[in-house]
Amino acid sequence: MSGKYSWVLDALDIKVLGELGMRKSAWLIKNFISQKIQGKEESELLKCALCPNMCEFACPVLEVEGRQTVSPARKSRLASFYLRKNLNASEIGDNLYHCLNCDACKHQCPLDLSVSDLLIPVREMLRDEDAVPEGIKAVEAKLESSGTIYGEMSRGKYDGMKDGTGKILYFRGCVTRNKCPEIIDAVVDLLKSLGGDVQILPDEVCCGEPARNSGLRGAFKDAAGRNAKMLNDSGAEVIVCSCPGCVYALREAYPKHGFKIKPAVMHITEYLDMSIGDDMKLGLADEMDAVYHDPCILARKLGITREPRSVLSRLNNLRLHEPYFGREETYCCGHGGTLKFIDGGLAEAVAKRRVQHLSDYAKVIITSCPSCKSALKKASDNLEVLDIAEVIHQARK
Amino acid sequence: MDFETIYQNPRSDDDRERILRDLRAEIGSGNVSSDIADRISSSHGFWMVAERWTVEGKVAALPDVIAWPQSTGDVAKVLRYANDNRIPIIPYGGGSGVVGGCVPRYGGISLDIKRMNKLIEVDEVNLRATVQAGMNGMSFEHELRRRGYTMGHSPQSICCSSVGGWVATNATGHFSTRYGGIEEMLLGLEAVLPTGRTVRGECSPRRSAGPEVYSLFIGSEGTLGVITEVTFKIFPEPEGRFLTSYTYDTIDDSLESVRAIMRRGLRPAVVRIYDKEETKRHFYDYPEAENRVMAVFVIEGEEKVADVEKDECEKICSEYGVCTGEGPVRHWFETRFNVSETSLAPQYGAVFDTIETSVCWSRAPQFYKNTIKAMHSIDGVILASGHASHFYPQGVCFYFTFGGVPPKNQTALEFYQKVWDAAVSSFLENGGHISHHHGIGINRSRWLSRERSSEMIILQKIKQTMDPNNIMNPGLITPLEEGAQ
Repeated sequence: MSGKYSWVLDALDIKVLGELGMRKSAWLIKNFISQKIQGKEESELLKCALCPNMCEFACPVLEVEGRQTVSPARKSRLASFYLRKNLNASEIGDNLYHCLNCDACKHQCPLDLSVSDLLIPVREMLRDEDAVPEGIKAVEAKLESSGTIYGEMSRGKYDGMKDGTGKILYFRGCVTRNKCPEIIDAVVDLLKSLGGDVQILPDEVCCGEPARNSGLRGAFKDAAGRNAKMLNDSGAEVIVCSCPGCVYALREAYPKHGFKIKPAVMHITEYLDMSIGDDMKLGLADEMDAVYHDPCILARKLGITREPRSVLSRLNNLRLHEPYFGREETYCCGHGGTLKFIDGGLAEAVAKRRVQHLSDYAKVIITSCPSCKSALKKASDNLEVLDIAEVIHQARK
Repeated sequence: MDFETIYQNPRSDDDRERILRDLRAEIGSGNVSSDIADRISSSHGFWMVAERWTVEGKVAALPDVIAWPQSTGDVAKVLRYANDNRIPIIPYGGGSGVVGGCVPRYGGISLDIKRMNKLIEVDEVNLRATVQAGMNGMSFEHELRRRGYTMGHSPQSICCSSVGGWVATNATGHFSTRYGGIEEMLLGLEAVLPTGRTVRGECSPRRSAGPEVYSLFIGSEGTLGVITEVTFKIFPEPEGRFLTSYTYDTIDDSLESVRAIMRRGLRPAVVRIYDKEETKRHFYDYPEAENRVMAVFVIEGEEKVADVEKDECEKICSEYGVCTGEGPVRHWFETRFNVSETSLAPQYGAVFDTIETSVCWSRAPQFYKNTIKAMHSIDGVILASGHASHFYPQGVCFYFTFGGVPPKNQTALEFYQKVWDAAVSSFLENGGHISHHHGIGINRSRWLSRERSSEMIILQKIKQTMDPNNIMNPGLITPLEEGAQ
């Protein structure tokens, strides 16, 4: 027999059947096969817990916090102990939320395990026990009261905008609306100039991704339900997002939870790559050296690394530098997941570390995510941080 | 909390609270914890026995508190306090050790050096780099690669071990046949003794000025002090790299070909010989390897030189085996950090581990066969296999793997120890060493006096001189007499 596990069966044939007897070999084979087939959450968690932490070098939280407890495999071990009632919720503390949802661990894992994904059902159990950290409770309360993670959302100048058929719907996202409204100006202008009939929902609510990965199942489903109805009733053909988290929610997480979004969902980099023709002239007024920062969710969860580079490569006067930690090997900006809600200082330390990487290459950072822009800008004193839409908008002027 | 602790901590809750309070006053409250989550997380490294305990919902041992010093000064404060109060110190780096070296059997302070992770200097002119001991190995290598250098040290644990831990365990890496083990890469270090005194020693490029004190810390496993800073040799990233592989009829032929390579002064960076069992396990996609012994080679360095070296290696190998090209080596590169089977085996109810050793060439083939036979002689062993992975002009490192199911009326631990006993007894009876690069830890301590025989008394005297109160990782390397419990 050939194949990856043939050596196991060969060994069993020779040794077990011959020397240990049928009963034990049957038990061993059953155990082996059931583990291969089952793929239960607890079993996956234990596989991660039993690893020597081969991904830990890539975990920004561990690097900055320096505490073994928050290393990927140790978080899984704690979660595993919690599921088996060896530890209770208060003993687990907020350790399972010290995670950026960046999937750096998954990118290194031979078993393709995302610690963030593994922990979601456990965080849901902690929520059911009312044992989530205060910062997460606050997020839940804000989502409930306002539909956004910020508690209130000022009415924007584009709320309810609709040109013509409104076939392109721009879903702005909480972070863009609250922290980076300049990206909205750039995107709206770009979408219009590229020939689209643009619309924006009058009552857009959070995509729910922060709630989902924090284990706030109810808040996520509520957001998903409200958005799904509005988006599906909008008449749009395409939904364009600036935030990779929103794309991930609408494209991947909603359908898994029974909320199908009818229009195609695209990240702005995908849309620009598709829409900007080779014959379109794009050039910056002045020469610019810039380094590109790949957002974790865009690069790792959505696999979008080619499109932003393709778009930026069409700009005259731009010299784009590739950082050592780029594409799928990127390093989180610190604002991934919900760490910033429970330990802002730690999130900022991660951001500073990322700025340190990037500052070796240029004085301008270009990225494709409002959270990354916001985090990197806050963490850097003398660097300019731009969203890709702003750069293309400048070049189109 | 509700779980069994294998090694019971002798301290009371009041004692623990006192240590916590005192250490907070010494190095700051954010740098000390007695939270159960932190204590569990530092309860063991990657010792297979402890992995099995985890599956069973048990914990190897709990330290009383965790301390995260941020500087050499902090380390000195913690050590002075522990020494004055006779509290054990268990230095903790990445926690990747496989022999139980960081299990806090007697409780005490798990001194985790991960917050000391700064790159201090990359000295490109003199080809050396200085780094704080808590830096992760792969992070360090990335820092070098960004600048066009490499350390050439690439153990399978590089992703989850600390640079200080490499020294403390006398480690070696996959590319050691060209770049050497950690003892050849280390140029100097800074360490803190239990009294709080800091010692520094460096000998770039070399000196002859009496015995080197810093070299005492190589393989000391945290028993003499805490390594806080290390200076290593670095190398320009190799310009050229060539891959090749060969299959052989027998393990004897494969060993003989590599012996000839080493004898000629050729130094491939990586050579790995897999016996037929392991060839089947790792190279199942290569029909040409079926029922053969596989050897993979990586030759690197200045391109023209490496090209010639590769040609010469291939000439030698062709006398003994059949060339199978680059494919198997690429496969090895793709899978060399894949340790997923170690995550799976304990869940299947199987007992599984690896045991490394070294032996001189003249004994190597028989040594290999006798050890495989010895492991197979234990009831319940289902597989016993080996590969050779580090080579010297004088001999070879063998790396054995066993797996099985405990027979009736035998615990997993008893079974585990029986297989280990059989393997290590075979090593000693056949002229080998009890360890090549994993160190001693708890697991191998029972054979150390046979290995070091007349040297043991010197090791004990060194320990007594440097750590008179026996607070540093008590019980390891030298047996515990009057413990600091």
